[in-house]
Amino acid sequence: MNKDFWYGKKVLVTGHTGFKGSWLCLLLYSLGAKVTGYSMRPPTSPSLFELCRIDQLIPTRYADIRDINTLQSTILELMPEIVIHMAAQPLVRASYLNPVETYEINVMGTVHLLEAVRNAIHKGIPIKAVINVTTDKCYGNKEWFWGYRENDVLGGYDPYSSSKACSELVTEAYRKSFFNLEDYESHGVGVATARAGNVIGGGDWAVDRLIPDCIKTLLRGEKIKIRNPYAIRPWQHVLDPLSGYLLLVEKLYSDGKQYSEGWNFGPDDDSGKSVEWVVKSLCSKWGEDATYEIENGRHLHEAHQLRLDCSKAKFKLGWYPKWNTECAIDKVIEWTQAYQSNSDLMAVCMKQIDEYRNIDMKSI
Amino acid sequence: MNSMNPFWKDRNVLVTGCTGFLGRYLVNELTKSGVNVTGLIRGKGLNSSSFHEDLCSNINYVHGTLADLPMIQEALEKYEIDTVFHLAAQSIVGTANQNPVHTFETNIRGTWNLLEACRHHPVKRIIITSSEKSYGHHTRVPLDETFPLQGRQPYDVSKSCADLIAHTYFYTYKLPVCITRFGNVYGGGDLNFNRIIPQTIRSIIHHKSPVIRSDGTFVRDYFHVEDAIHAMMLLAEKMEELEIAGEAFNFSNEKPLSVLDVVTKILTVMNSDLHPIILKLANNESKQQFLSAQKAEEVLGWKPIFSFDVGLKRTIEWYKEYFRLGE
Repeated sequence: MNKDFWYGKKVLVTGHTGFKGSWLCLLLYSLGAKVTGYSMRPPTSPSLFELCRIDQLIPTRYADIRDINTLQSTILELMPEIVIHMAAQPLVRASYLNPVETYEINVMGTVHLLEAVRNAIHKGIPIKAVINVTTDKCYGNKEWFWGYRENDVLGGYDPYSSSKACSELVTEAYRKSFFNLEDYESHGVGVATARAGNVIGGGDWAVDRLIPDCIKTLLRGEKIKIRNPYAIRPWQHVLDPLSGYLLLVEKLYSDGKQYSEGWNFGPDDDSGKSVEWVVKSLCSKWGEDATYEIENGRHLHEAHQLRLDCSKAKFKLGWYPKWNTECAIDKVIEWTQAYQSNSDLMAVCMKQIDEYRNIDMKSI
Repeated sequence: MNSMNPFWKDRNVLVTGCTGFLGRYLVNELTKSGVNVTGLIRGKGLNSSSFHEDLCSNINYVHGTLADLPMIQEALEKYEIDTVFHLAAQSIVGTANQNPVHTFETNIRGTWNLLEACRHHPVKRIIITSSEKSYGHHTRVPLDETFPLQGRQPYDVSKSCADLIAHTYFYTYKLPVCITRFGNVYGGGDLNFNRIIPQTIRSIIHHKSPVIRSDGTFVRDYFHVEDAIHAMMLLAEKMEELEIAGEAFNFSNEKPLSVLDVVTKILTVMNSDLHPIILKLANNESKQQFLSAQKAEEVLGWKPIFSFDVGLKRTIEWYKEYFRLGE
């Protein structure tokens, strides 16, 4: 991440009140970008957004991505050069319960954003880079062992996954019809999609996620109960994919022709650890006699874990994950203990961002 | 056609897009088979041409759009709908390029609203009409049902997405959905004169040379509307018996033709000595795109009724009559 690039850049982030969006705001703020957010109110309480008082750092428009008129007028008013689209209904379980809302937000939300960008460019606003953040679940699950590559087939059984596959397809339609690379000189915008999986980090209160659930249990001083101890999952710190998105924007901004396509930002293969390994590690780092137990029942080994092949981002963007699972867990523990002791959480986030960016500099 | 199949007698069927080209044929055929048809109509009045108004007088109407989920739910309940044919769509490629938001609203959102309404109501079978376009571009032809859905242009993408969402409703909620995929459907009654067959016939009737915008070499399926209707009804009849819910079926007469072939055949059948004007305008569509109907043949025992030549003759007769009455 190049601070010289980001300094003073006008960036619009949608969905910035979510966990990942909040971290992105802080990261962009640390790089000196002029960020504005467009989002509904924070989805959880507490939330990283409120705990870090992000609304005091960056101007925030509380509005719905389903409201195309407000979105359109916001973009025309702000005249951003860079748009990062994260507004989404992000939970698989919620998508089963409410598929229509998931599709409205994830599919029509993407349509609205791209249409607003298209109109803004028509009106002479020089938007240079747009990233639509989707998911590793946008790939049709082939139940195979290999990592998915960017040119694999899109699909998905559950409403969340298919909503994101549709979001990808809609992006492709806009790219082919309105932001075609052959006319790059006239529209000047690069449009890419970013596909990442579940991430971990301080300040996540989402439901149905292992680490947030464990943290909540630890904060209550209770014993953690785990259901699938042997399930192997990849674990990635939120700053890893976010740094990838920013690298991608830097490239798109200056050379949209080369980078307007889909990009995977997943963890390294060796980051796969069992649920029990992660919980054990959480407990030992937490201290204070934190313990866990494995719930009764049959614990099957999960065979097909969805993985991403990130060779393209590594070769073409020079991106690579920097914090391994252990380190990522350390950061979550550090953040949560600061939360428990009522410390300045913004300062903790900024410290972690600095640490992350310093690895960046050393490698250069 | 199997109009007297007792399967259809007194069945309550909802047809979305019932005033469209395919919709009118379907309503006609269903009514003849003894179905109580309920038609979903956008807007207030019937703005389709008068020649089908007679037929439309004996079906139930629901006014509204697929954007209105409660309205669809109400219609399903009120008319105790058992079978749904979803035909409503913005079906013009050029319009999709001009107004993608409207096209995505109609084709993608319209489909999920319909499926969602059906999820909360005991509908027994739902036929979603997708398209060969939902496959997007592939270098290998013919396209079979295992090919990925990877549209690249707004219209194609709207079809790929609607198709993917229909699959999701089957996998997630066990909704009894089947999907039909057709190539270019033609036949009397298609008043969209941007399409090659109506356009060419109209030109010749008006003694004007037919115009081919491309170089004429693009190869596509041309599928007669009555075959399409028969295929949809057959699929609905067989869904439970064959346990094929959740599956997609291509239908095609597997005789793809180039645009030039089509225009030449029309000229021949109409005994015209006009010559086509070939504009050779640049076109980035796939050179060859057509379907394999092997699955429909093997699983459903389906076969097309109309050869292109027979279908074309019927179609030309229809347009001759249409323009004779109109002028």
